[in-house]
Amino acid sequence: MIGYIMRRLAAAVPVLLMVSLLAFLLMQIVPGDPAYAMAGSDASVTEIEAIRHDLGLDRAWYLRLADWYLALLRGDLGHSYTLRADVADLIIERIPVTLSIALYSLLIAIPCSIAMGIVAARFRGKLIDLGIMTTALLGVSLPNFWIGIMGILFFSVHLGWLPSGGYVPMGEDIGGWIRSMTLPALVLGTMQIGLLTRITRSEMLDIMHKDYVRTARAKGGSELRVLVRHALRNALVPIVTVIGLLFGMIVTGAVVVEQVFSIPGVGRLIVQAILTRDYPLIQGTLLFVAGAFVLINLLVDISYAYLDPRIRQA
Amino acid sequence: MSAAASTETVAPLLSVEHLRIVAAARRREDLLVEDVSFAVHAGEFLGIVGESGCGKSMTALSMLGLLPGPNVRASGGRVLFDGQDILTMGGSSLRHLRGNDVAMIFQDPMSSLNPVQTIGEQIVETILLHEKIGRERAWARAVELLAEVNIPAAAQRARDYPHQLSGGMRQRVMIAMAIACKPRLLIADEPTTALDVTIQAQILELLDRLRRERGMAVILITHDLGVIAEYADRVLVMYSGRIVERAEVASLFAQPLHPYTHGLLGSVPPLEEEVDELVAIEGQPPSPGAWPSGCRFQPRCPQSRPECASWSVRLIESEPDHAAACILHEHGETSHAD
Amino acid sequence: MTNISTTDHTDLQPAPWLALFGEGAMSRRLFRSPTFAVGFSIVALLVLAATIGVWFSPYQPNSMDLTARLAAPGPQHWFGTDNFGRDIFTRVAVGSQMSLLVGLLVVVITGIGGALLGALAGYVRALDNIIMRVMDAFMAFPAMLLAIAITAALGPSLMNVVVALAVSYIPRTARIVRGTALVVREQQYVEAALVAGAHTRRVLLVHVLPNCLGSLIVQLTFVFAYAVLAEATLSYLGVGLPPPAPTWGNGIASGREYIVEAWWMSLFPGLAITFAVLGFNLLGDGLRDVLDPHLRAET
Repeated sequence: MIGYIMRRLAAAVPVLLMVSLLAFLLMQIVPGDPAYAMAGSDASVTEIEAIRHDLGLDRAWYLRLADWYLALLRGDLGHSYTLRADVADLIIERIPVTLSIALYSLLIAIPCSIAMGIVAARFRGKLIDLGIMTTALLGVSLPNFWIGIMGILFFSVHLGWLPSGGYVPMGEDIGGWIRSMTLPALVLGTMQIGLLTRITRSEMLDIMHKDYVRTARAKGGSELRVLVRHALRNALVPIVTVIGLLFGMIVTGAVVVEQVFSIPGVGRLIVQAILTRDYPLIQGTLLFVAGAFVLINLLVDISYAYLDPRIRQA
Repeated sequence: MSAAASTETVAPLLSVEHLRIVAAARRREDLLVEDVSFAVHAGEFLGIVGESGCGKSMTALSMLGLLPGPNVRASGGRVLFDGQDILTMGGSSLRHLRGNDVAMIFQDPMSSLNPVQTIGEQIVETILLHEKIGRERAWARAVELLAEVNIPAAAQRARDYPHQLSGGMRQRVMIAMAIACKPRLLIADEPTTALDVTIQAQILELLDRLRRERGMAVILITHDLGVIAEYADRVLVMYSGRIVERAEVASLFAQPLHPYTHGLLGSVPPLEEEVDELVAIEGQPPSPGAWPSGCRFQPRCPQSRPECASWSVRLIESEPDHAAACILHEHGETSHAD
Repeated sequence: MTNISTTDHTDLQPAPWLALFGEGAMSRRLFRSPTFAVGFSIVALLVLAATIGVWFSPYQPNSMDLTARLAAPGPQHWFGTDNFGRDIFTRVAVGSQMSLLVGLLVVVITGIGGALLGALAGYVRALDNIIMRVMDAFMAFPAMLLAIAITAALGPSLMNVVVALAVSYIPRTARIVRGTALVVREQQYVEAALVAGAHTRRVLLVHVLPNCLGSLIVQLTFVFAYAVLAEATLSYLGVGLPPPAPTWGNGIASGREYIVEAWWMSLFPGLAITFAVLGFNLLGDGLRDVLDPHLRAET
């Protein structure tokens, strides 16, 4: 088990090196001089020069690359121009916000889609299967910013049940947090539900024909027990893989949803960085997201070992 | 059916009457099993032999209500266990029956065990499904059962996952799981096909020992007549969804009545010297849906006659406890061409 | 001599385009799938809307009419008007042109790029590791986020949006092609072709590409769906095609501020996006069932 985790960790290192190189290169493709873009049209030559100096643009690219990696080793993601703060600090401040919506949405999406996937697989070809699969397909086809707006229109403007945006920290007022986060979490969850339901259904269909499921029936287990304890338990490995893949979807979703509902999370920080052309902030947040993605995949690999004894003992 | 019932005075444990199983495909229905009738008595060892696709596994699955529905279903007949029809049984009585009164082991022990549970847990699950005892006592029982099926160091092995065991060991685990609730009938569907030859004998020996010790009936489904000769009391030969011959083992081997049984005996190494040469049956068994009319063996039969194609097939008893479904016996003739 | 023997071996393998577009059973099998049929109809309707839909409207997509600001849907303006008095029906119809154009360009570039990189990685052992490690790094970024970052760096314009989306989907496409190429490389007829003196380039074109065509078509159909969705999202976030362009995403973005007074501003473009993405997803599902039963739904 320890050996397996160490091997996975070692495999993540070259990916992280490439990812940080990519984040560095991304800012080198900015056409013209980033300092001009950042300073705005009415900046003076000296202001631009100052920015150029601060960004290190007056130095050779390989020196900047070396600086970038050295800073990363110290955990330094750079310095934001518009917000006048360390990028790492800005991200850390906002992690709890984004993480809490993400977990809330998963809490809604995972049980819903597993239940829907099992029902659809069990009643394959029946009307209820068609209904669930159509819902799931809508889930992956609906633009989330649009359902966000439609949700505001219906639940906030029309019914007045939920606030149309803003954020209440969980520590201050748990009820307020639930009210402000429910709509965003639902919106963030739609695409996850669509994808997970489809995967759960196809995995269950696969596994329901396995011999050990027949054995479970021959023992006298109830249909629910057979489906959940035997079939679903074995389908979990591929389902967990997809939950890991969902991370990408959640981050992109968070960027959009935080924008729609004015929630001060990491996603909104990214949009803000892009709209204000704050290049160090763009670079830092991107690298953070990619790094987190690599980390999540690592956790997924480790959870395989927990879920599947064949991997654990390999 | 009257043939089997008339010779026995004790009510059979299981009796199958005119069982008919169909597979529904898009806009058509294929017969898989037709007019199958037989009985099994307590403590008896019954063999069902036939090539793959002859309907023997489907017949076995129907005895637990485990036909792979909704496309495959029993469309006629009865499967009576203790006088109750399994085919019309509801979910909860069916669950009570499975694993408790009737247990089953399958062909492939590699895939028949849940790969993510320890073997101990899987045996415990069976016990707890049918008996109200504590988990710890169930675990102790599971370990005893593993020891009973000759698994060494049973207490440690109980904590292993299926992939850590060899094929033979896994089949022993399946047997331990099957006998956990002292069933009165154990159905073994080709239990040794996936195993080494040396292991085969051990597994069959084990099944036979458990049958004797526990007085349970065993139905062994196989394509291997040699195995039948060694262990079974009575045997059913199936071909293309029908029983073509039913006999005591001794009389089947001494005097096979159906030309198909003849052919099968020709393709196993001779037991007695009377069988003069090894002749394999020509051709392939037809697949369900492509069965010829009349006798289904007739296109491959060395003794077929024009009437075979229109004969209404039925088992004809020519000796006590020995019946064959062949036109040659209709007028009391015997089939010996030699 | 070389030619003869390679053609001989080519005959042994299926040519998917013939099977698909010839008079063979493929198209009939496709239309027997209700999923494909519905998806195909939606996409056909979309193409129809993009080509002749605009003729049904007397308005220009960018002509403003300040006397008819925020008019509700009615006989004058079927989908209502926006905050500048522009006809939303016209803008949604023209928006379908934009979405289809972006989708098409992204699919073409992704297809060519993904097929080339994937075939090279799968076929040329020396390049495999380098190409796939770079692809892995790209895939460590969520696709749409990478696209957002690239458009942010390059600046918002049609071509930059297309490039950004293509770059973010090429690695995923390349991986699929590489998988097939790895299998094909080991086949006897490829070895035979090489023994007969065929060039690597020829083997790639004649053997590897036709074999991945099925999975490639399926993947690209889904890429089309993603591209439509991503383009709308980029527009909404303000890094897509800049505002006067009547894209669906821009329509929803401006509708956000008028949500209380004019729900129709955001409703109709959103329905159009859903409709389009749904159509391409259904088409992809239907194609996958027929062309590539082994491929699973993946992001």
